[in-house]
Amino acid sequence: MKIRNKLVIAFVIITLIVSLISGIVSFVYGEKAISDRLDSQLHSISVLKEAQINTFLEEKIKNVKESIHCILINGSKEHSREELFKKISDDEDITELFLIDLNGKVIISTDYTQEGKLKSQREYFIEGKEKTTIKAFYYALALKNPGITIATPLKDNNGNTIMVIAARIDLEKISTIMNERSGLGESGETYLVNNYNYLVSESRFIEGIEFKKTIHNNIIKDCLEGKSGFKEYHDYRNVMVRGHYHLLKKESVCLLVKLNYEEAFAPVRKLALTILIIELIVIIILIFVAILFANSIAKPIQNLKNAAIKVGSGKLNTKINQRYKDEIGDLAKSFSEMTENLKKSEEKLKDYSSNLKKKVEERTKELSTSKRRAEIKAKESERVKKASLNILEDVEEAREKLKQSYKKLKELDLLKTEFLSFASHELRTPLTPIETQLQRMLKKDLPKKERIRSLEMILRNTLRLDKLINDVLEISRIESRRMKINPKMENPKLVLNQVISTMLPLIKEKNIKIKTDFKNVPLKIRIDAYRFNQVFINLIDNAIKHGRGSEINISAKKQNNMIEFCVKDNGKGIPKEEQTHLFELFYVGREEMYIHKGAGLGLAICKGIVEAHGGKIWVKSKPDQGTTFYLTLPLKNKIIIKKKNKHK
Amino acid sequence: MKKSNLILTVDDEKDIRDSVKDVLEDANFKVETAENGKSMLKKLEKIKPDLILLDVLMPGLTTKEILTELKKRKNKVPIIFLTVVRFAEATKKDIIKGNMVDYIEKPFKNEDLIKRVKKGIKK
Repeated sequence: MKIRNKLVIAFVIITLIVSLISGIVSFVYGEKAISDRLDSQLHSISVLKEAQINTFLEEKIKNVKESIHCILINGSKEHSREELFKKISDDEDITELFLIDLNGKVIISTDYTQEGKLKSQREYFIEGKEKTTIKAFYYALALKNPGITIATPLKDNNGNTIMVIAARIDLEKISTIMNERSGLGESGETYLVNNYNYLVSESRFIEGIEFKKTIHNNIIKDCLEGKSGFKEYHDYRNVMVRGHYHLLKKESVCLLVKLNYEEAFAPVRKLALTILIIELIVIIILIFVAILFANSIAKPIQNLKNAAIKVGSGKLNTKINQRYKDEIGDLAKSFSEMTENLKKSEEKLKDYSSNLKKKVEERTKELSTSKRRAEIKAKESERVKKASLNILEDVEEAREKLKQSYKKLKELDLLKTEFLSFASHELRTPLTPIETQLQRMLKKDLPKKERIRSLEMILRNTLRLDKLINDVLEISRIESRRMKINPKMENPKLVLNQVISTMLPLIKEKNIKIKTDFKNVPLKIRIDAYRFNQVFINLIDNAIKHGRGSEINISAKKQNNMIEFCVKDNGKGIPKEEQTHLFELFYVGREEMYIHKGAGLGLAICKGIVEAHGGKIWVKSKPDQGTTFYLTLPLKNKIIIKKKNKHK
Repeated sequence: MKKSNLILTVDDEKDIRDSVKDVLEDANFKVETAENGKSMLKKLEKIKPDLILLDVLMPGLTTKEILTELKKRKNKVPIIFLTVVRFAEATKKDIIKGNMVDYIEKPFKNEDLIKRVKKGIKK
């Protein structure tokens, strides 16, 4: 919604509220004033009518009392009647004048027919004996006309009532009073209702209903109870009226003054209409003003908005009206400054973008060139890809090889470390006594005996070192597969016996029995005897040192195309977990390490030698049941057969 | 001449044991020998050496077990270790505690052995 419309609506709403409130207030006050005026008018009429009625009746009473005075002066009956007639003719409102004795009997009456009749039960007689009383507005059967009866006591000089004088008064005068309607407008009416609820005055609207129509409503009820006031009610015609009600106590009759509601409140309606018209005029004027005012606020904003839209769409040259000297003016000023800045920025941007455009064009050219290149490259790369797949397979293969090499290298590295630790221990141990003894001998001349002992010690350890170095060299040859064997046809039995004889001193020292079994052995086999010796010295040495049994069995036998050798001891056996590592280089069993200071070379060398001969070596052992080393060499070796043939 | 000190040398290698004994006796020490931890402990029940020269790597009881045994017996005899293993100086400092007062690597200079033994006894 536009700001102008918002403002107009706001103004109109405010205007309507204000107008409505002022209209209602003025109407309420106006209505009250009119109503008050009406009521006071009704009241004053009521007061006037009461006064007129009372004055009329008092005048009649006075006249009646005057007639008593006449009667007192002239005592005779005839004279009295004459006087009464005189009085009636003087006062045309009095229709009958009569005297009643204390027994209630009519003595003299201006109506002869009434004389002698008994009125002792009449209220006017009973009350009239005491004081002047008015019995108004009842329908007297005797008169056949409704009327008012006035009664007053006639007293003697002592003040005692001797007679009651009564007069009947015609209602015409009252009707005249009641019908007089000055100040009551078109529909106004005054009327009287007696205590029997009969309408007793003539109706303006319906003829001849007096003393025939009874009226029963709350107004009459309240009025007969002595209350008075103003009220809107439905009158005997069932027309809505506003009226005043009041009880005339002496006459015991309700006086009602009323005006038709419609007429009574015509000024109020008129007032409402007037107010409405004025309101409408005011509202129209105010709306007109509101629109003008809203325009004066909204227009600069609208202008600013339009300018902003133009600037927003890129028309930075848009001029902005800055003539307003309020906040909107400030805003317009700021806005135009902003526009100016924008203009500058835009120019910069234009420069920048034209540069950018040039650059983009250049790059696009470059790109299209490189795209062509890329296409060529893509074709090339397709070819390369195919080639790569082939290479990849090769690489995969190479990697597998590398993996294996790495594993081997790692093993080698471990071997190197093990070798260093082995060397440091195994080489230094024999070096220690050698060095120590040599130092001693250098320092002083030792006695001969001791010198010899020292030299023996040096020699022993030197030999030990020598053996160690040889073993290490052997191993290095085995490991690099450079071990050279020099096979010749040899008698295995002979070779083995030589080995045993070499070992005999040690065997004897340890008190071990040695048994041999070479029954089914070929006469000659093709072996390197020196290496063969090495193997068996090692195996027998192990059996002595590690087996620690009481017996060693050495056997050899032909089996299929093989010759199988066994070196068996009845010692304590080798734990199963150590068996698998037995032939590994530098492997030293825990116990051997401590007891025999083995280097972990012997069995590795044995294995190397046997394998160089094309044979196999393995071990079987059970704890506490001894250990057996098995060794097989092939017999049907081509070389062996050839040589054999040559020999033959 | 003052009373000569008693040294117990423990080594499983007979030649080393004997050589050490020779060198120390040349320097006027009394020397007893043992070939492993077990026999050393047995010897200690009879003799009270001023110092023990102990080979680190021997069959039977390990060095740690030997030291624990000595601790149990509240024997505070100073011990010099003999070993073929080479250790860094920093490691040596860490190792030397309790009964252990020094550390000699094999092979050794005879003079050096004597000097260290004397120093070990003074401690």
